[in-house]
Amino acid sequence: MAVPAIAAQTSSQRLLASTRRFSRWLTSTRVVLSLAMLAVMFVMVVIPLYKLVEITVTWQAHDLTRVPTAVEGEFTTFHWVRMLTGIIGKIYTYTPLQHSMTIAVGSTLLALVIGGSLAWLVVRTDMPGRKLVNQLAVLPYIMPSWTLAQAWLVFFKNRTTGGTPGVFEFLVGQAPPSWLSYGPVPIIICSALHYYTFFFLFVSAALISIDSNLEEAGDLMGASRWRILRKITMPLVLPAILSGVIMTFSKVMGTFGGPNILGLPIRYYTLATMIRGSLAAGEGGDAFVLAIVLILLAITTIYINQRLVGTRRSYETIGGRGFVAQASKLGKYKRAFQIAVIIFQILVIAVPIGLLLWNTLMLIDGNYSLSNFTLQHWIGAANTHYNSGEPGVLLNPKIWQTAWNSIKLSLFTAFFTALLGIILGYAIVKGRGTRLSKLVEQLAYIPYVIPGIAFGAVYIAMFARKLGPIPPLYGTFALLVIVSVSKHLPYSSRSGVSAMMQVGHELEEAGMVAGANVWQRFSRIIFPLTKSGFMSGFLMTFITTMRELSLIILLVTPATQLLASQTMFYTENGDAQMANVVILILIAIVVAGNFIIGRFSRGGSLRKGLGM
Amino acid sequence: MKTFVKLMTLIVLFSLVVSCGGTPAVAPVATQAPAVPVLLPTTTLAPVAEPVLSANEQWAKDNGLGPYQPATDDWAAIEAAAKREGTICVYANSSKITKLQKPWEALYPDIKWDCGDTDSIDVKMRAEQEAGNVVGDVWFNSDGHILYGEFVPNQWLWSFVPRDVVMPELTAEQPFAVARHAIDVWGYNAEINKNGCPLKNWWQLTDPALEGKLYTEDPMTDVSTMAKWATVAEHGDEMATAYKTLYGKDWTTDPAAQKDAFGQEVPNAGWLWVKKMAQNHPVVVDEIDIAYASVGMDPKVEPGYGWTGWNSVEDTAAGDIVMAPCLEMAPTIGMAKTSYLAVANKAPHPNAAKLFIKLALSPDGYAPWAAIGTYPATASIPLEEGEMPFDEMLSKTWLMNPIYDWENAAKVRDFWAISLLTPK
Repeated sequence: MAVPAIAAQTSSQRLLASTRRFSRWLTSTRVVLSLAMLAVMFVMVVIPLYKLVEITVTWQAHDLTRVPTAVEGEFTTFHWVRMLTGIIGKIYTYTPLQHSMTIAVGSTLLALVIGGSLAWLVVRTDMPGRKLVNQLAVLPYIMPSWTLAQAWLVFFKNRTTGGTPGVFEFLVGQAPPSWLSYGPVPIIICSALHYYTFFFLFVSAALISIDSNLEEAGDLMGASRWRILRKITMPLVLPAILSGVIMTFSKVMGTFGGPNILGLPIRYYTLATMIRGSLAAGEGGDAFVLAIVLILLAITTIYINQRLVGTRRSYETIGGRGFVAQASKLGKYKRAFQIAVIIFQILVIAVPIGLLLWNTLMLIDGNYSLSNFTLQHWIGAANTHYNSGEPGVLLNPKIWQTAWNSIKLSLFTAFFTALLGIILGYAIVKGRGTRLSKLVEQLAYIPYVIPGIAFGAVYIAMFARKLGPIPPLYGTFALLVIVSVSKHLPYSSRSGVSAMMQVGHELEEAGMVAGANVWQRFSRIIFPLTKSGFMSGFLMTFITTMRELSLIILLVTPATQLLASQTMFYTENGDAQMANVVILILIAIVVAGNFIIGRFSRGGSLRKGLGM
Repeated sequence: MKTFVKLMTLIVLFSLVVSCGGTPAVAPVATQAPAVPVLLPTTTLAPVAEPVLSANEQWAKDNGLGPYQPATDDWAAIEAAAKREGTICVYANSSKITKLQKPWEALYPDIKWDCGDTDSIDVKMRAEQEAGNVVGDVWFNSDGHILYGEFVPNQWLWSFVPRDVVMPELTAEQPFAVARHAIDVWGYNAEINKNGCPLKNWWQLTDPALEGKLYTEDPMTDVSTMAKWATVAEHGDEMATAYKTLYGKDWTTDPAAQKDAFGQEVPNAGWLWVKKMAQNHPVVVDEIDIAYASVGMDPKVEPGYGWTGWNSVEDTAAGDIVMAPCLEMAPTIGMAKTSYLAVANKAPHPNAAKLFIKLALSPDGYAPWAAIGTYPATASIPLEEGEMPFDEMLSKTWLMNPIYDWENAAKVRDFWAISLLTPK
């Protein structure tokens, strides 16, 4: 009788021990945070994904006209079979997929070259005017992505879309070839010029945090410049470059603006434009099959990323020691580099904005004569001949309300996104290598690759009704904030992770030994060291929320109109100049916001984060 | 204590996860539910003495909408009720809706105006109906094929036409108030073609010489253009006659009329036109750019032709470009697109919605859209000066048929997409 009793005792002891272990695991800061984040992800990511899949495998209203025997809402593989096989699959899925891949690969490579070189010039050389270059480098990203495409069209268009000749033809006297006017080449260039900011921000942040003692050590050991770059610098910035690659690649895969303007006229459809088209045509099932194809691609990308930047490949470079950064000397090429960079930035920033501004001053679009100059679209009184009889934008009280809505939305979104980003960064980095951490990281990344329009379409279906304890939010401002936070989480999660990765364990451990509690450790050690990550997450989100269109277009109601959607209404109405006035206002607000946020976050701004 | 707080937080979070997890499982049932009573009213059998009303029908009955609208409208009562509702929210697909704010506020200063140009009205209203959380009171939109094809069978919209408004075209099958008809036409450059539009027949548009010189919105991405090409398919016989007029032979002798490599058949001459149009690779541009693109501004360049709203003729007339409609085209000079007014099922402000419809159907309510090529549906509103009477216009144009368009728009889109790949 005694033997089983002992066995029982040991097993109960064992149970007790494992319970204790489990509760200790469960109550450790990183696990609590991870689980909390998991819950957030569940609502923001998993349910929308479920909804997306559900729609692809049920009959939709429109299908009934194709298959009369179908019953709306019942299970079917119709959309999958249709979209992945035969001639329909080729038209709607495979060709657009091939186009998306082409522009994504092309833009990523080009953006890497541009962003990486600029970052190196700004952070690691003695090139004059670096401060200005640094500030201007972020500007192309601030402008709506299709601004460049629009400017490209004005400059390089040929007669394919009829109308007036482009500026190129006007100057050269010869129409540019079609491959330069429309299709993959201009889309790649415009996307790269827009998204190189990713590489610039990531690589410069990484370069700043590399102690040049590490490189000097290599130098002392007799390594050549190339060897130092290859063996020391590259491995240290590789995580940043890979972050940039993933952000750019998947963003361009799902980008809508450029392909819409430069691809559609010659029917160069990409996955994103096809998704938008299918949704507009009432083919939700078809559209979401394409969205899932995009998401699967993204998951593959994350997987590859994690294989490349696993636990072994991260380096803690912010330690408790002194820190030296030294600039490479460019010598006699200093000026040449500076001039090249300035010309580049003028081309990318000043020309598009100049074209927009010029356009708003034309009474009649496309007439470049001096007599056609006017301030009608800015401050003109209502005149039935122009703009459907609407007064100039600045005289329209509705615009002010709309602008305020946009600012409010961007600030709210930026705050919550940045906050969640830091928490996510902590949860992911401190649990690096565990399955929980991987899961959270993967989930946090997914919204990034769900095309904005599909995301909006799913959110409207989700939040129009009561969802668990969440009341129906459709039609409210809160829903706009939620959808924007969800969509932008990946930005902050990534910047949170890369900021957190560089904070040594020993710093927090020292705090722990000294008896600091979780909150104290976070507010006194972690946050101050990652503040630049928080601020860049805040800024990034503020900027992108401001100009986000496809995400919110389905969710705005007349009472919650935003600047970005207002531009679309003006454009659709044929009032291009009014639309461009609103875009200029939008750009002005973002630039001002960028400045103010940088000003008031003492020493912790994006600028500081970039080492200025 | 600290551990306890942590545990409590965890429990709360878990319950959140669990309660949310339950929702998706319920969701399909919820979306399916309205599908059942949908068929009831149309298939109600004679033996049932008192038909059981669906929840939606009961709501319509309580609010005097659709078939339950009383024989006379008690406007005093409606206005009093609307004042209690306090707000009006209209989903309109035209930015000119903002011009109705002043007339509205003059008439009903106590009822807040919450209307605006709204994108994807069908998507929003569908979501609102499926969720039972209705925000928009009034559908003020074209896309009749979605209205009659999807929203009416689901009882998501109810008709309301003030009893004193005479709208001759309404039928039992198509009872929804019509705000206006807008005519779409082929536009040409009247400055270069001084002797009028060179095109006299729709089949001339499929001439390979015009490849790259035709401008339309994209039927792949624009539901309205899909419906318009479906209208061509609907008029197969007339397209067949026009084919014979132009080429002197039957459309069936056209090489493109044969089954193509992908096994796609061509059912009639209308479908053949859609196919040959796709093979002519029209340039797809935004609606408003069509006017500019088709006429061009450089006299040295031979301009093309654009499919666009007649009213954009007036828009471009303000500038130095001259687009005019091709008015001698066989078998039709264009299509009439209808804009409807309807009250959303379970709208939060049904009485304010009635007042809005009354305003929109009055001369003041129509005024923002008045233009040559646009027609009011009420007999009491005068036409623009020099505008062809609507009856005469209708004999020269095709009125889009929402029910046919609903049945065929999706098929036309696939057909178009495949035809793009088919060699000439």
